[in-house]
Amino acid sequence: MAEIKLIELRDVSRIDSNSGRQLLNSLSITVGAGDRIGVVGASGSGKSTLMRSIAMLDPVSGEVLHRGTLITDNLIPSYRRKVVYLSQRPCFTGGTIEENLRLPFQFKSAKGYPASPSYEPDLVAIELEAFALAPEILNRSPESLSGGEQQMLALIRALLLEPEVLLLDEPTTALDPASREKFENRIHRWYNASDNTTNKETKTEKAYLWTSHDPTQVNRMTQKTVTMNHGQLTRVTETASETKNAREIDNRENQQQVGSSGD
Amino acid sequence: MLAKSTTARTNSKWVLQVIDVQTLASTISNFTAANLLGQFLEPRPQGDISLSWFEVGVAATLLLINAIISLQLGLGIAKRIATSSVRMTIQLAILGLVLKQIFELAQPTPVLGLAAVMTVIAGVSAVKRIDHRYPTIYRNSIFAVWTSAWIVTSITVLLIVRPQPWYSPQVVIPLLGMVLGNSLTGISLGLDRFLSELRNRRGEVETMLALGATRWESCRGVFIEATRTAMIPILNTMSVAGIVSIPGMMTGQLLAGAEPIDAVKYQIMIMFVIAAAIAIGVVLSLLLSYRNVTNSRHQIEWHRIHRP
Repeated sequence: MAEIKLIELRDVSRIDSNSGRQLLNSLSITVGAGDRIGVVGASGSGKSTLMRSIAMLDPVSGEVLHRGTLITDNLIPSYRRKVVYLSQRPCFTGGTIEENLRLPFQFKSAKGYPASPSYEPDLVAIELEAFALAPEILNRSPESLSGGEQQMLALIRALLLEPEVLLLDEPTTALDPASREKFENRIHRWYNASDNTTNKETKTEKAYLWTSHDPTQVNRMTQKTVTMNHGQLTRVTETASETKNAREIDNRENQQQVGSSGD
Repeated sequence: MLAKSTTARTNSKWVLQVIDVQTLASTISNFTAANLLGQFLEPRPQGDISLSWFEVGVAATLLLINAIISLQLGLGIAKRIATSSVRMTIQLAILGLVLKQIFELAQPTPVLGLAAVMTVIAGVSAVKRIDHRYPTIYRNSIFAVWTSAWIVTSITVLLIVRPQPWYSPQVVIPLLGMVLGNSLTGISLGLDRFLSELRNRRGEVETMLALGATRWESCRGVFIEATRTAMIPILNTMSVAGIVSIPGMMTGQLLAGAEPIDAVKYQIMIMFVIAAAIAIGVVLSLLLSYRNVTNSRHQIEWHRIHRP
C-alpha cells in the first residue's frame, strides 16, 4: 500500500519582517500517514516556526498540501482541526475549563466536516481519568491551574477534535515524570487507535511531530528525527525501529499497572 | 414668560458675581492697581455675554495656580499644563479668525474646505493617542472619522436643523466640530483597546485559530471589548446629562439667552447625533483595522502591529 502523504510542505520560507531574519529557508518536508517525527535543534533554529507553518498559523511563502491538495483559504479552519498545533505555553480563554473544552465545538468549522465530532461529556470524563485529573477541574478557571495541568488539558482539548496530525511543541515541559508518562501513553493510544472507517490491517492514518530538548523523549516517542538549523532541515535520521518502540510501550504500560513511575 | 425670567435670573447671577468682585475691588481702592482692576470690571449691561481679553485672563489665572501647585509638588505636569493652555489658546484664536473670515464669505467651498481640514486633523489626532500602530492606521482612522462624522452631520444639517443656506457656517462648523471631537475620542479609545488587547491576548487568539476558529471568531472577543470601551464615555455622558452636568452646548445656548426648552431639545438631538457618530466611527475603524491585521488565510499578521 502506497504511503499516504498527509501533509506536504514545498519550499516554505518565512522571513521575520521586523528583523529581516530568515526563519524558514525554502523548507520542504512530507508527513506521511503513520509518521512519528521528532524535531530537534537549538533554540531559535526554527522548530516552532516549522510547526506553526504546518498549522498555517503564520504567513509564509511556498505551498502547504493536505492529502495532496492545496488548502484553499476558506478550508484553513477545518484543516487546523485536523492538524492541531499545541503551543509550548497552553492558552485558555476566560471562563471555566469546561467552557474552554466546549469552545472549539462552537466554531463554524465544527460543522464543516460531516464526520466532525461533537462535545461528549462522557468522553471528557474518560480523558480526565487517563490523566488522573479530578472531574471538578472542569468548573475551575484556567488561571487556577498549574502549568502541568494546563498542558494536560491542552492535549485533552486537542484530542476531543479527533485530529489526524498533532503538532506537539515541547508539550511536556511543565509535567512531572509521572504525568509526562501519562501524557506520552495517551499520545500512543491516540496514535494506535484505529478509526472506525479503517480496518485493523491498514496502517494508522495518524501522524505527529514532536519537538523536545530531551533526547530520550525524542527516542521514546518518534521513529524519525529531523534536525533544524537556521530555518533549514539539515539532517533526517531514523530514531528507533518501529517494533522496538512498540515493545517499549507495552513494557511501560505494564510497569504503570504495577505502580512504578518507570523513570 | 417662565423661560425669560430664568434667563434674566441667570444674567442677574452673573452680574451679582461681577459686583461682588467689584465691591472687593473698591475696598482696596487705595491702590492704583486695584483702581485699574475696577475699570475692567464695570457692571455689564443685561444680555451682553461678550468677554474682554482681561476677563479671559482671570480664568487663565485659575489654571496658573494649578501649575504652581504642581511645580511645588513636583507632579511634572506644569509644563504640559502650560503647553496645552498655550496650544488651546492659539488654536481657538486661529479658529476665531478663520470662522470670522468664512462667516463673512458665506460661500459653500470655504465652509466645506474648513470642514475637510478639521476632519483630517481629527483622523490624525485619533491615531496620535494610540499605543500601537499598523501601516494603514492613519488612512483607516481618517476614513472612519470622515464617513461617520459627515454622514451624521449631513443628516443633522439637511434634515434636522435645515439652515438657510444649507452651508451656513454658523451651523455646519460647530456641529461638525462637536461630532468630530466625540467621534475621534471614540475611535481613539476603540483602536487603542483593540490593538493592545489583541497583543495581550495573543496566546488566546492563536489557540482559537489553532483549534479551528475563523479569523473573525478568534478576534470577536477583542473586537467587542474594544467597541464597548469606546462607547462607555458617551454612554456615561448621556446617563448623567442634566443631573451632574449641563452639557457644553446647552450651557452656551443658555448663556446666549435661549429658552431652556429649546436648548434642551437641541442638546438631546446633539446627544443622539454624537452617539450615532461615535458608534459608526468606532465600528468602521475597528472593522478596517481587523481587516488590516488579519488575512484571508485566517492568520493574524502580528508583525504589522508595532509601537510607534
